[in-house]
Amino acid sequence: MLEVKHVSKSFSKDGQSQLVLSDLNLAVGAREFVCLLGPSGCGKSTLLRIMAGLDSAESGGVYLDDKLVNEPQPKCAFVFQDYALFPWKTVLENVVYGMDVHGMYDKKTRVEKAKEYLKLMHLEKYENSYIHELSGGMRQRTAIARSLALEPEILFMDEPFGALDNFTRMELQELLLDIYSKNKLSVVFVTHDISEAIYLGDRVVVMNAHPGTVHSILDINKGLVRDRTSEDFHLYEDKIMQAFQLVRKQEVEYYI
Amino acid sequence: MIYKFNFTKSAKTQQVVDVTAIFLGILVVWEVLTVQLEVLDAFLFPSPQQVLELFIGDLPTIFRGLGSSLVLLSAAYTLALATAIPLGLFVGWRRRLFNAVHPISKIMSAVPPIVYIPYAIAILPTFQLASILVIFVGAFWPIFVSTLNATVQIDKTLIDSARMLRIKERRLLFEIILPAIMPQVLTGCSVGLIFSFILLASAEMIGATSGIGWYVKYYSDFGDYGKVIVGILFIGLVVTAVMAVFDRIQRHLLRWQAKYSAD
Ligand SMILES: Nc1ncnc2c1ncn2[C@@H]1O[C@H](COP(=O)(O)OP(=O)(O)OP(=O)(O)O)[C@@H](O)[C@H]1O
Ligand SMILES: [Mg+2]
Repeated sequence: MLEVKHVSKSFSKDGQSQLVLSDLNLAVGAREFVCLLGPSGCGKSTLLRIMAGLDSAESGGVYLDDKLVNEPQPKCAFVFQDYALFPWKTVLENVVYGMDVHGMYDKKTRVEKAKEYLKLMHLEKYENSYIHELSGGMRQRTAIARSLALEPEILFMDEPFGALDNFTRMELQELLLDIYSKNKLSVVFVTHDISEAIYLGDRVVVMNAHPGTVHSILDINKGLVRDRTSEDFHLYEDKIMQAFQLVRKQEVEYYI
Repeated sequence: MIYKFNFTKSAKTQQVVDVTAIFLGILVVWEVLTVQLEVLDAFLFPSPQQVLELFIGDLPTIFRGLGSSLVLLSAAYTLALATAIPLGLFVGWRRRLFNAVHPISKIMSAVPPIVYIPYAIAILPTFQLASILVIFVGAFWPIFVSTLNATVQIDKTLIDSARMLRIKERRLLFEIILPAIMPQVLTGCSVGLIFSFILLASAEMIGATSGIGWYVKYYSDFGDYGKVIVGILFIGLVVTAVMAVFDRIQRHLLRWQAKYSAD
């Protein structure tokens, strides 16, 4: 269980301190898929980085199984919005490298495992390609394969499909759900796409901006939303829209 | 693909033809001015044929000189690579160290290393050691500064991506940062290599008793300008050959970049 307790964070901007996250609370259970949804600039990435131990909270803290997170934890992986692959390595080497650093398996098994994950991502033909030879979707699939190969218990994903076209995005969403259902892992998934959040998440955390807080949390009945055109899907969408209108109203008051 | 391949091939052939033409043109002008028209002073401007004969006759001396020059150069340059790259990585990675070292390195690297030559010869017991020191200094700064700056400016998500792996500092420096900044490091290395040659020739002209720089200086003191021209042309050939090898190594190390992947 990953718990965010009273986390605040501010950045200085033009010499002024700007509160980005304010007294934020959240819990992610084992084997849970949580989506963080909110408008651009509301602090989703900041929160995710603090949860992953890449940044530290100013006050409050993040706890993994009651242990304070103050650096990246073992058994956690992060998929970055701009992939952050190692361009000097081939696709296969990118996947193998993390396992090597983690000291997982022997060399031969690492390569075998890496190939399995690449196959899962339909990348077996590109094992020996360098990153610059891949399309955006293939890069993101490599990044996902690289993270999965670490056999993480928690997978952090920061708008991983944000830069992709609709077809590729839907294909990768399917793939991700498939992997999620077959593996023992929790996913914390940042997005600003409402339907993506509903389609993927067990829970959708709707965030306020200025400063970032949790506005509301929506439990999604996964059985109802497999069809994106269904009545229930639209119902969830409406609910979230309403939440956002609330967010907007509050913001207006705040600015007055 | 096929079109591109054909294009590159014919462009290459074209280039070879053009370069040969220019080269022959220069030879013809030289020949005409010195032998046919005799407008140039024969003492200062020997003919192409004389130069060629001198070159062939002096080959053993020239190659012995090249040997002693390359020993100095490779010792100093290897030492520069082995120190400048790890130091640049380490200092660039440690913020506080960088803030302290950066202004100092700016001043130090601004001094043309050629001015150290007389002092180095004075303080060190042999000429060999003195020239190795000076060539080392000349190669060190460009490599160190380019490694340092590239390390400081490295893409932060790359570092985050490595930090998520809970990587050890040593592996981070040499397996993530170094390959990531390799393009800039190699630019520094190539500048350092050119500086090395300049300093090698300068040092040899000041204090050596053999070597390619010494050869040119020695014969110009005697007014044997045929051999001076031989020496100059030979230095040009050597530098070109070494830079060609460097280029091959660079292409290999950066084969993961789009611009080098074609070949
Ligand atoms: N390193 C930083 N230094 C200064 N300000 C920062 C830094 N990182 C984030 N901020 C500020 O914090 C706020 C929230 O940023 P964050 O990246 O978390 O937003 P986000 O919700 O992820 O937005 P997006 O959907 O556009 O990615 C922004 O106003 C941003 O300017
Ligand atoms: Mg973001």
